[in-house]
Amino acid sequence: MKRMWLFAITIGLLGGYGVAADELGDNCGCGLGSVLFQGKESLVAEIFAVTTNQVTGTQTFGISSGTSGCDQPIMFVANPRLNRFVAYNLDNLARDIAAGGGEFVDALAALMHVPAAKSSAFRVGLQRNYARIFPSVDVDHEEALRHILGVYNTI
Amino acid sequence: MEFAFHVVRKFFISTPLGRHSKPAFLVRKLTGSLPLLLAAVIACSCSGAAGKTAETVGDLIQRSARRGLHCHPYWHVLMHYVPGTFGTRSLIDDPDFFLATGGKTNPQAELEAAVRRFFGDDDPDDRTETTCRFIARYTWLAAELDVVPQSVDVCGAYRDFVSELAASRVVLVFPTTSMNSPASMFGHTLLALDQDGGSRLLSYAVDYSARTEEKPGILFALKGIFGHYRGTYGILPYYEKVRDYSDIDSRDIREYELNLSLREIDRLVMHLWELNGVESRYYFFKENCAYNLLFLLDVARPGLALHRNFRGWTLPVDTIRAVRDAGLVERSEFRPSRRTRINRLAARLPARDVRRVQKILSTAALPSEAMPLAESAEADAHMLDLVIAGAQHRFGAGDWSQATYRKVFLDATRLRSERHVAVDADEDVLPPPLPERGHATARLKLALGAVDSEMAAEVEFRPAYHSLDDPVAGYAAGAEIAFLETRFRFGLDHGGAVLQQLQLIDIVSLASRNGYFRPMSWTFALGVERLQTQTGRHHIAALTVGGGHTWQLGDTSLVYGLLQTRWQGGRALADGYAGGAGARLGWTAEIGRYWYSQLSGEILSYGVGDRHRERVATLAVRYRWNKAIQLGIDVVHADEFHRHDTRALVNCTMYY
Repeated sequence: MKRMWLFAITIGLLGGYGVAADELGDNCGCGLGSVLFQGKESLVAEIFAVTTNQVTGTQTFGISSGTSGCDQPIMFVANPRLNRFVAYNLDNLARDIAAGGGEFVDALAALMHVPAAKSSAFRVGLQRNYARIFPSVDVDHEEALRHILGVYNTI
Repeated sequence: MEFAFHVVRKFFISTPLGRHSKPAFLVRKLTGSLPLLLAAVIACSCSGAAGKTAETVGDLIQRSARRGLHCHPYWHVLMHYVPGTFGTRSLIDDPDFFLATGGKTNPQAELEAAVRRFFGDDDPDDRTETTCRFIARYTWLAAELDVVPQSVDVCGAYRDFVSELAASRVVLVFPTTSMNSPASMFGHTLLALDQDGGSRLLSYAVDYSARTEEKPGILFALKGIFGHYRGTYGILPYYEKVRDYSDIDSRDIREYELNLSLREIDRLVMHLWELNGVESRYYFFKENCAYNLLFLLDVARPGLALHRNFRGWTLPVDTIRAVRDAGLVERSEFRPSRRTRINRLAARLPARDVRRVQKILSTAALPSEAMPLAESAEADAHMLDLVIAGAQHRFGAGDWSQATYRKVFLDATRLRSERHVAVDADEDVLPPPLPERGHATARLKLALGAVDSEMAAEVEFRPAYHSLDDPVAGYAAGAEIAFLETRFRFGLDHGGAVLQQLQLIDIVSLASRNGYFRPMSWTFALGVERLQTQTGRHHIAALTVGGGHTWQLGDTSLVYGLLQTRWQGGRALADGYAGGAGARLGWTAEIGRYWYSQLSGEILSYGVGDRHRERVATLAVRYRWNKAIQLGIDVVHADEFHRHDTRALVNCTMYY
C-alpha cells in the first residue's frame, strides 16, 4: 500500500505540473485570440523535451498556407503580405495600436508603404480610431484592415 | 508581389518531401522563347573564352582535375562533405542533391558529373534545369573553370525567389532560455533575412529542423538522438517565429546582425535555393539546427568553415560563439519575450497596482468596470498595459476561453487607446549579459581533500551544460541542466580509482515567485552514485523527482523548498530497491562579482523496499577567478544507511 502511495506521488510530481510547453495550435481561425494557443504539458514532456529540444514539429516547415479558414479575397487590398500579416498578428497589432505605436504598427506601416513623413500621423490616427477599427469582440482581420485603410486615407 | 509570394510558398511547401526531380513549372516556363535566349548566352560564353577554339567538356574536366577542384574546401562546403571514419561523405542524405551516383561519398565523381551536366552537350533545356537547380555550384564552378557563366535570368523561379526574399542583411537569431524550462537552455538558432528599410518582423526566417508529428516522449527523444527524423531547411515569415518563441515559449530572443556583404548574401541565397526540400538525417546532438545553419554562412563567405569547429556535439550557444569569434557579428539586439515584457511592465508599477491588475485578471473582470482610476493618464496606461499583456498571457496559457479573452482584451485596449501615453516598457532596462559571453559549456573539475578522514582526489567531467554553481552571466539564474556528469575518486592512502558518480541527467529549475508570475520549481535527476552502506561502499542508482517553490531575496539570492521522492536500486539494498519521500531546502547567492555560495539540506525517509533514512547537508563556496576558471570548496555531510560520510574538498573548475 505504502509503495503504491509513493509511486502515485512520484507520478503525480512527474505529470501534475503545468509546465509550459511549446504546443501550437494548428489553425489560425479568424479574429482576436485566434492564433494564440498553448497547451499545458506535464513535467514528463518537459524532461523529454530536454533531449529533443531542437526537434520541432511540422509547424516550421515551409511557408504555411494562407490566413486560415477565414481567408476571403479582399477585393480592395491587393497585397497578400499585408493581409497575412494582419490576420496573423491581429492581437499584437491591436495592442500596439491601442498604445499608440510599437513594432507591429511599424511593420504595418512598412507593408502599407506609409511615407516616413506621415508615420507619426498614422500612429496617432490609428490610436484615436481604435474603437472603429476594433468595433466588437467578433472583429476579424478583414474588417480591421478595411478600417485601417480608412484611417490611412484620412491622414 | 502576389506571384512572387506564391512562388516562395509553392516552392517550400508544395514539395514537402523534396522530390522535385521534375519541377514542372520550371520546365513550363523555360519552353517558351527562353531556349533561344539560352543558346545565345551559351554562344556568348564560348566566344567569351578569349576567342580560343570552343572548349569541350573533356577539357573542362581535365582542367578541374589539374586544379584539384574536387579537393577545394569550398566544393566540400557546397556539398556538405565532411571527413569521417570511413572517408569523406556528405551530410546530405537526399539522393536528389547529387548529380553523380555515389556522389555522397565521392567528391571527385560528383564534381565531374557536375561539370558534365553544367557545361556538357546535354539537351539545353536539361542543362538549364540543372543549372537553375544547383545555382551556387554552377556559379562557383564556372568561375573556377574560367567559363563565362550564363545569366541567372533564365532561371525564372530562382529569380522570383531572390526578389521575394530581397535579403539585404543576414541576422543570426538565437532564442535563449525560457524561465522554468531548462529544456530551452540549449536554445535554437535560425537566420532572419532583413529587407531594406522594412521592419524586422517582416523579414524571412530560415531554419533547419526535423520533421515529426509525434508528441514528445521517450520514443521521440530516442528517435531524435539516433537520426530517425529527417531534417530540412525551411522559410517562414519571421513574425511567425517571433510568436513561437516570444509569445508562446516565453523565450527572449537575441538577434546578431552579421556583416555579410551583398555578394556574400547572394551566395547564401543561392545555396539556400539548392537546399530547398533536400533531406538529411537529423541528429539531436550534432547534426542539428545550429550545425546545419553554419553551412549557409560557410557558403556565404568562402574560407569560413565554421562547421569544422564542431565534432561530437553542437550546442547552439557554442555556434554563436564561433560566429562571433570569426568576426561576423556587427551588433546585437535583444527582443524580450512576452514574459520578460510582463515582468518589466509589472516592475514599473507600485506593488499595490500589480495586485490590482492581478485581481482584475483572476476574476476576468472588465477593466472599465473594475479598475480604479489612478491619478494620471500615465499611471492608468501603465496598469492597462499590464492588464493587456496579462490577458494575452492568460489566454495563451489556456486559463481563459477565447470569449473571456476577447471581452477583457477589447475592453482594456479600448481604454488604453484613450490614454495617449507611450508604452516604453523597455526604456532604461539593460538586456541581460550576452549568452555567448558566458562560460564554455564543458567543464572539468579537479578536487582534493578529506573523505572520511582519508585523503582523496576527485576528477569530474561534465560535457554540458550549466550547473547552479557555474558563473551565471549569460545563463538563466536558478536553472541547472547537466548531462553525463562523471566523477572518479582516487584514494590517496590506499590507491585505486573508482567511479564515484555518474549522473545521466540532472535538472533543477528554481523559478522565483516574487514577481508577477508564480511558477513552480522542480527537479529531476537520474544517475548512479557510490554510497556508504552498512556493508561498505556500493553503487546505487537513483531517480529523483521533486517540486516546490522558490523566492528571491534581494537581487541575487534565492531560497527554495522542494518536496521530493527518490527511488533507489542496487544489489546492496534489501529487496534490491528502496522508495522514499522527503524534502530539500536550499539557499543560493551571488555575492558581488566574484563569489557564489550555496547551502542545502535534504531529508528522505525510505519506507518501501530497503527501509532507511537519508540526510545530506551541503555547503559550496565558489570564487570566479575568470570566465574559464573558478576555485571552490565543497563540504558535504551525509547520513545514510545509519552511516556517516563526511567530505571536504577544495576544487578547481575549468571551462572549455
